Formats: sequence, C-alpha cells, structure tokens
Amino acid sequence: MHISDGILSAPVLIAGFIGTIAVAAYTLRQLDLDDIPKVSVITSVFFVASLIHVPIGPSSVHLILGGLVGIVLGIRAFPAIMLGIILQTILFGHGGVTVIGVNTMMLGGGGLIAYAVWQLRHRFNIKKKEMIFGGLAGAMGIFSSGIVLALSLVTTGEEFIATAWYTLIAHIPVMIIEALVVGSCAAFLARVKPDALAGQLPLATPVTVTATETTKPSNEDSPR
Amino acid sequence: MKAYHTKNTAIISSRWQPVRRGITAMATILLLVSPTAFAHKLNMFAYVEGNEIFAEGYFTDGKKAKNSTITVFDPNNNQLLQGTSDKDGQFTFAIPQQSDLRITVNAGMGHQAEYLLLKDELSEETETLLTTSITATSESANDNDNDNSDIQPAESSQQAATNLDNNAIRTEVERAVGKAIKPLMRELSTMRAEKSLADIIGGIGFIFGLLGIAMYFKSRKQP
Repeated sequence: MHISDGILSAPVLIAGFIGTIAVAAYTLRQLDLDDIPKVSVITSVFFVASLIHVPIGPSSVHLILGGLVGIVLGIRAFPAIMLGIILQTILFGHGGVTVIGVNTMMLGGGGLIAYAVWQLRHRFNIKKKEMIFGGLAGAMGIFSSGIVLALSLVTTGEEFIATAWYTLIAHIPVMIIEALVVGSCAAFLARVKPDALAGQLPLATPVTVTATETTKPSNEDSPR
Repeated sequence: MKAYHTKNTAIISSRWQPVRRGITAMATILLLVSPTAFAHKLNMFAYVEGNEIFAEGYFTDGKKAKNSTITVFDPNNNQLLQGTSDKDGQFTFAIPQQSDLRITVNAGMGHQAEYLLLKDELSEETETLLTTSITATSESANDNDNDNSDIQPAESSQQAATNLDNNAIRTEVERAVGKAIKPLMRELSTMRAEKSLADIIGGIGFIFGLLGIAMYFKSRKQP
C-alpha cells in the first residue's frame, strides 16, 4: 500500500510533506528517552513487515502492521512509521522519494487511528478485550489508510466513490489478516508484558479501570 | 509447605502458558507465511521485437498487471499512445517514432512503474532491415543500367532473391533470438527488483543506529 512516483500532482505531494513534518514534529516532542528502544524495535518490525507475504489463492498480500505500531507506540507511531517508510523507499524501492510525505500521512495516519480505536477498550469491560480491540485497531488502521489512499488518488482524476470501493474491496484480505495478527499480538502482550502496550499508563485512561488492571498482575506476583 | 510449592509452580506454569501459546502462534504464522523476501511492487520491462515494442507489467510476487493502463511518452513528455494490457499484463504496439521512449504502466491504487527504452535499442533492428533492402534494390538497379545482356537481369534478380533470403533469415534469426532472450530479460528484471538479505539487515541497522543517535543526544540533554 505505497503510492508510486509519478502519479500524484505536485500540490498533493507538497501537502503530504507539510502534513508529515507538522505531525512528526509534534509527535517527536512526546518521545521520551525510555521510549526509544521500544520505538526502534517496533520500527524494525514495521520496516520488515512489508516483505512478509501471505498467499491468498493465486495472489498474495503483504503485511503492513500500521495498527500494531499504533497500539504499541501510541502517537509515537507516526515518527516510527515515517522512518520505516523512508528506509523502505531507499532500500526496497517501495513508493518513491517524492511520495514519502503522502505515504507517511497514509500509513502513519492509519497508525494513529488504530491507536484511537485501541484506546476505546477502556470504555468496555468485556473478556478478551485486548484481542478484540487489537484486532479492530489493526483493521481500522488499514481501513483509514485505504480512505487516505482513495482521497489522494481522487486528485489524479479518478472518481472517489468507485476508487474508494475498489480500494476497500482490494484491502479486505489485508484487513482480516492484520486484524488476526494485531489482535493476537495485543492479547499476547497484554498477558506477558502489559506495559509494552500504549495507553496502559494512567495518563488518559479512567482511573478505576487501570487500577484493576494494574492490581491483577501484582496479585499473581505476590506468592512468588 | 509442600502445598505452597505446588501452588507456586502451578502459578508459574500458568504464567508461562501464554508465552508458550504465543510461540506456537508465531510458529504457525511463520509456517503459513511464504518465505520469499519479495515486496508487492509493480515492475515492468519492454523490448523491441521486429517493428513492434512489447511491454509487460508484473508484480514482484509474480502476478501480472492485467487491465492496466500503459502509456508511451517521447523525451519531451508528450504522450504518444496509450493502451490497456491484456490478461497476461502484456501490451504490444508499433514503434511510434525513432526516439527514446518512456513507457509507464499504471495498475491502479497508486501502483505505477516505468521503463526507458533507448533510441539505439529500437532503431538498430529496423534500420538494418531497411538498409539491406535498399542496397539490394540499388544493386539490382545498377546492374540493370550497366549491362544490357539478357543473362544479367536474371543473375541480378537471383542475387536479389538471395539477398531477400538473407533478409528473411536475418529477421527469422532475430525473432528467434528475441524469443530466446525473453525469459532471460524477465529473469533479469526480477533479479533487479529482488531484495537481498543485506538490504533488510542494513535497514534494521539503520533504524537502530538512527534511534541510537537520537537516544545519545536526548540523554546528554537531560541532567
């Protein structure tokens, strides 16, 4: 899901760069020293994910994992995805140099939307909510990236509704696979290392829910 | 005391169960996933076959770029012609003009690739064909002018016939060579698009290195 060189017009490309620089500058200020190792590991995962192909019938799709970056890094997903895209462009020839801005807005924006969906889990008190909301975050990340893709293709003269439908249908397999992968990763991390996930700190979350969540593992720890 | 220990080990094993389950899940995913290090990138290649140019678009996973728009531009970016590829992602067209040609294929959804076909690549074959046929006709014309005997025209026509035969053989050979080269060209363009393990490792190294530098400067700023 990278746009290639030579498709979009100059104003769209420039708008992409301006938007990317603005969002990246804002999100980079939120980057703490302690986050950096986590960011580098997740950026590497994102960078390599596009090379992993899942065969579907005669065709195949590749993972994007913008949703995973979103649920682990929160709003720091944006600079992480930006770095991943820059390196994918230089080393793999995905997309193109002029389209780095638009591609980052597309996939990084998907990561931010995934994080927003992921944060909604605090409003629900259901079983396996990490898996459910992780899966939803994965799917919605791809969905919103698809919307941005369709929007940017409209500027080239393609009709929006038709393009959006086509993009959506083409990405349904990716959405399902991403939902499975991100959902299982979220459930796994929530059990094994909950503090690795974004939004677990009592920063923007309701106090009561986080309290129960943080007391649970400490109860299990106490007998040891 | 003993009861406590068993309880403790039970808790530990239940704590490690998700880890084990996770590893199994990862292994399953890795088994399902194809190990090819290919990206979903659109590529194309084009070459001259006689008086025609053959262009083909394909994705690096082997899927052909069918029903995609193929556009040909001259060096000044003027559009020369446009067409749609068939179900094998192929599109054949007559050489529009003797110049460098830029051929782009657009497979929709932001996938586009281009190929530059240089002038000498396309002119050589057609020009040699033209010159040989011209020399053949001029030779026969000269023969007709100089000698008026009855035998000569027959001989010259015979010579022209052999020239024509040579021409036919030449085109036939060139076509056969073109056909033999086709898979090689395809292989070459896939090899060019292939990602090496070095690129992947290098990219991860870049990420760690860049963020390491960021960490260094951040840690110096903080007291």
